[in-house]
Amino acid sequence: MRNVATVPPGERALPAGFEDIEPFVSYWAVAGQNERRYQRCDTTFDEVRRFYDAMLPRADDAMKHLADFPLRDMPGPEARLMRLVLSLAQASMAVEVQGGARVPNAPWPDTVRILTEETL
Amino acid sequence: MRTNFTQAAGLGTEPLSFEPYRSQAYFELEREKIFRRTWLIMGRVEDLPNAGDYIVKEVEICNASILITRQASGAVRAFHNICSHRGNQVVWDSKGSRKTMFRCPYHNWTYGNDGKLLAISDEKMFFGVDKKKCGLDTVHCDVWDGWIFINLNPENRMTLREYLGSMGNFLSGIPYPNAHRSIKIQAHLKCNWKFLIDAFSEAYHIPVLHSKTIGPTFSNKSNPLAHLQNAEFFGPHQSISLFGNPDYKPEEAALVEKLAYSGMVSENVLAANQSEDTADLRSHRSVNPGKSPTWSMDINEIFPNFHLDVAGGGFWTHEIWPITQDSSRYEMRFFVPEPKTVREAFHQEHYIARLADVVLEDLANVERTHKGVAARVKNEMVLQEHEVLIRRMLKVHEEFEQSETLEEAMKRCAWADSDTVPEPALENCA
Ligand code: FES
Ligand SMILES: [Fe+2]
Repeated sequence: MRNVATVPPGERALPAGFEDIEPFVSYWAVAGQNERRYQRCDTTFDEVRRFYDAMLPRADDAMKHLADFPLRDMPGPEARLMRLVLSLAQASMAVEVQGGARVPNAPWPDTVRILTEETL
Repeated sequence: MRTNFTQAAGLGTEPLSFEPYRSQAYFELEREKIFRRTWLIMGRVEDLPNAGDYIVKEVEICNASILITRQASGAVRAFHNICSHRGNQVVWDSKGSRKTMFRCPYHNWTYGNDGKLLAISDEKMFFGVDKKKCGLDTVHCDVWDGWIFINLNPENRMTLREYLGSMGNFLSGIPYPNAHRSIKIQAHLKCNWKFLIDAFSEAYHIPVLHSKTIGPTFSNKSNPLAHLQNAEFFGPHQSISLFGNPDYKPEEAALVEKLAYSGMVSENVLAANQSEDTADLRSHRSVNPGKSPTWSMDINEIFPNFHLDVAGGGFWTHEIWPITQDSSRYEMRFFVPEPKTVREAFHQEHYIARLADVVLEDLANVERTHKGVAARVKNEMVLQEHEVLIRRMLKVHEEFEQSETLEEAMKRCAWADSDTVPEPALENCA
């Protein structure tokens, strides 16, 4: 599985004011909980931590900005910002709970799939 | 805390054989005497809300593919998903809506969602087929409190209600919040299915195996080894209540966890809902039956492979399906509200991310356990008081394997119903 968030030509990657976290868009702003979990598991702890450290101080601002948009019908830059916020929840499991990118001593890749009725 | 669950369940204390977990002969018995006889969970009525909706479920151990449909009358019916022409599966996806006709993708034989064969393509080239005799084969199907079950024995005479017996009475009327919306965690494991049942049947492992993820939620200084608070036994079914740490708080450094829960007034980290949305659930007589202030959740085990777990913050289920002696399919469903804001979506992402990690801690572990047992070095396992569900489950299996009918098995399993045994001790932990 290779997940990439793409930015259509002519569109901003993220809303104005969030330029500092743009470098994380292509890897972390992917749609779907299963995909975001995969991204967290399929990289190194250093990479997860780098994203966590950059995203954590912006999460509250991001959610304030996004509060004005409909959750299921956001413009492209807002949708990508929302997915970065959601990925922070995934990354926090690595940084705040496990102290490693993944569950220790569990196989990777694994057969675990998160199946949702809607894809945010 | 002293308890006497094992004694109250009418069980011995001896070590138990590993053979049921690694023997092919035993697996064949389970197929014939358990999965081909008992009522099996298929899902919730909310999974097919409207006339014309359907779901397809696999029962691999019986080679069965089951099509469940919602009729115009509102009734839910089940059929073997097998075409009367040359035996292909008629429906190839796992769910759909507003479809009252199914066309077999092999040669276009067409069925109604009531199972009737409606049309045969190129019918005049056949040799006088009686369409009335070529419908889909009906499977016994019934609904209890919104849960859909099937029974694969065409000769079955026991109703679902009789099968659930006093467990059904115990649980009846629980208001299930968000029953219409679930997130599923699915996995395929290289292990006997009973290792998965066992993995979710005791709390002894929680402070150890899950020390970082949920250990602090299920234990504290007063109950460091997560001793059970209660156990109830109902024929082949059983129920336990787990301890909860009322003082759990996110660690100082868990900034994202704090942010995720900042908009929540909730029962604990296993909460998908705000407290106010689960008040009805928590006040049900059989949810936290001792109404203990140090309670986290109930595990309700409906024989043979369904766990219906209820916590202060909502409910979830485990389905555990044997495929072969040493491989299984696992499905957990968390019933969660529809997020309306980014903050709610963020909380839900955090909630499911944590649970996926917890479940993976268990799942990686069952494969290790299977490997250890299959090595045939050890022949017995030694169980303690708070692993009573495992001991009792194996005894229930023994009763089923020795029975010629479901009726006989159910009679044998009534050896220690909650109605007939002394109440277990309920003092708090000291
Ligand atoms: S097998 Fe279904 S139409 Fe031939
Ligand atoms: Fe566990």
